[in-house]
Amino acid sequence: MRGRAHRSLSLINGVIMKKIVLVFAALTVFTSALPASAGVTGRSARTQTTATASWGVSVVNQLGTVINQDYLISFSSTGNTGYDYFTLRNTGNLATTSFEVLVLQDVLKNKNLKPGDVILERCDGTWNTTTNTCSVTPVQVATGASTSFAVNISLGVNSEIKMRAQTPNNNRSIGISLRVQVPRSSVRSGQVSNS
Amino acid sequence: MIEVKNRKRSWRPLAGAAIVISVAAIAGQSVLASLNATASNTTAQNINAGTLKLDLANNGNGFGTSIANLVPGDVVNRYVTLTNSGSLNGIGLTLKTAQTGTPSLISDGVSPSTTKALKLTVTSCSVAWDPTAGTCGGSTNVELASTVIGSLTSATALNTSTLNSSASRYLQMKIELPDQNETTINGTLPASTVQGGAVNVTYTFDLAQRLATTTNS
Repeated sequence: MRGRAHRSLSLINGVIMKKIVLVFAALTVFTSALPASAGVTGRSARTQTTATASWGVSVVNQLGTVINQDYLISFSSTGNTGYDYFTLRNTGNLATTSFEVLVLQDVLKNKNLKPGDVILERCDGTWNTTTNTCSVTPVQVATGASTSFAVNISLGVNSEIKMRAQTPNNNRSIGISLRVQVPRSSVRSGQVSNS
Repeated sequence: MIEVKNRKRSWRPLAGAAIVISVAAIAGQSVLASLNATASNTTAQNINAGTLKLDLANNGNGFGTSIANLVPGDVVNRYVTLTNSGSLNGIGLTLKTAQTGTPSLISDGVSPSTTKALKLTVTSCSVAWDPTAGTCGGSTNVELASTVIGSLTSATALNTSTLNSSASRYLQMKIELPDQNETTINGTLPASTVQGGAVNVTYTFDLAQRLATTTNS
């Protein structure tokens, strides 16, 4: 009985020992496959922030709301003439030298008013929205029949160009909208700086 | 009878062990009794390990000042100086970057996006750069050709990879936003734009020790 127990114990010990030997063998192979130590290393690191500029011009309506989508002209009538005052504001952080405004006509909404009856004007002074006059002579830049007009005026950051649309007929559903496009070429060129 | 025999047998190992111990004790005493001679250096030998220390200093604004308001086509040159202030010569000088921020400034756009990300070029000068004029009074060497900043996350060897003890490497770090066209409509930036973005770039320079040597003297 004792002898059998002793043999069983020896057998179990033998199996365990084999496993231990195998584990050590595997560890030896694994560690020898690792790269050699890198030795001494010197390191220096610094962090720097780089930010980019943006450019863009938005329509701001008479309530002071920035319209970041096509601006639908909406007339308020004074007598037989309808007016819509708005500004074109540089909402980027770079000055622009010029930009383009597309005039989009929606025939379905033009009803019986011809787009050509709409006049787009710029006031380089101040609009008086009560008397509907400009402090200097206003400049007609386009009509509702135009496909686009260019604004070749330098516009600083947050600066505005004062505009209005007018029509001799009182029609609030003229169906004309404006889209302001500022291409890369409208802002300064690339520069090389050293510092 | 058998019991008596077994008792006798149980004493045998003990007796044997006693004999072995006695013999060992006698032999040991004889060794202790022999003559010994010892020699040693009168002054302790000094053995020093070398050091490897890589310093990074700004030359002008360097990495100490942020870069702002870049437009496509802009190039900003900043200047830094690497110095091995350790006692060991260094080899395997590498640079890697880690960056967080606007993805379009880190990696080039994937079609249909055509945006181009920030690029880095590293050029060394044999003497210190003039950071204001951007001029080198000695000879220049391109250490790293123009590379998109997001492609430098693994250590990249600089062309001049050794830096001896007390030596300096004068570097121009050229950051460039490639020229590209974007049109902003109604003040809304286009998708995947490079405009109005920001990236924090961490530049890491590593220098390894010179190869270990065996000397006889």
